[in-house]
Amino acid sequence: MTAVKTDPSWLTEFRARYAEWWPHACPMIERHDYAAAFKTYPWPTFATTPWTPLVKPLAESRIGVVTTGGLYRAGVDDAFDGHAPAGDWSFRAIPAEVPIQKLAIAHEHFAHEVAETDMNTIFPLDRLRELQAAGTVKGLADVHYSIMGYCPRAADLAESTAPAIAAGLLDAGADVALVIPV
Amino acid sequence: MQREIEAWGIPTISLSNNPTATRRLSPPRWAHVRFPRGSMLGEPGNRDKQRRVLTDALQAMVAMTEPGGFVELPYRWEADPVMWRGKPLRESSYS
Repeated sequence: MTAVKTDPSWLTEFRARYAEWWPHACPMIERHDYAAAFKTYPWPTFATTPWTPLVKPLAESRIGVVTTGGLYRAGVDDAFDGHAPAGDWSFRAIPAEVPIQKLAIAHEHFAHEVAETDMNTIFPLDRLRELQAAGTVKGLADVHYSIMGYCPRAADLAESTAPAIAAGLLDAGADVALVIPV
Repeated sequence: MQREIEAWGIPTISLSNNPTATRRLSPPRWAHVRFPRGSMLGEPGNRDKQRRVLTDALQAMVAMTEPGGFVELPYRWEADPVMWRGKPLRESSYS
């Protein structure tokens, strides 16, 4: 597992509070009463904020995009488990050259119609290419990332998924990352 | 996740339509967009607006010199409301 670089001090307390929350929340989640379940969710809080200054002008920067829309390549990637009560904290790597309108969505917690009409509303690679043509940005990173945004298991996301995405974006040549939740 | 990417040496910015939820997570940089869930860049097919959201958010990063900076984007949803579970979605509604 790739090492976490953010301050991990919140993880132990979060895991303990999550373990107390889950037995009460799970039945509510299973009957789709998310509002009630999440009223007592142990939201993590952070004492510090990581910071990397912007050192390159945008016009020299390649942009990496991370979506929480549960996007994946049908026929290539496994779908996210959009129905799991505890969510799915895995990720998918999406090469920049994939036609975004062909991506599939596996996420049960948002209305898909807008994205299915125009995927740029949640994963704007075409628009970023237009910004590249206009000279606003240098271009796109080689690979972009998707997670499925219904992910109550924040510690697993933080320990397993986030470092892997960060490492992947570095390898893919991203100078800036744009995180777009759904 | 955004925090981890930043810690690995990549400056980040996120889009958010829910300032309360976003502030709770202390992201390095974020842009407040006034759009419904599932459509953070604006209406489908509205290429000009989508480009402006992206440009404004990315360019706002240049001026943010400390963690926690955010920018308010002026764009509004200009199509019929997105429906979710039989109700129109408001900007920051989560479910």
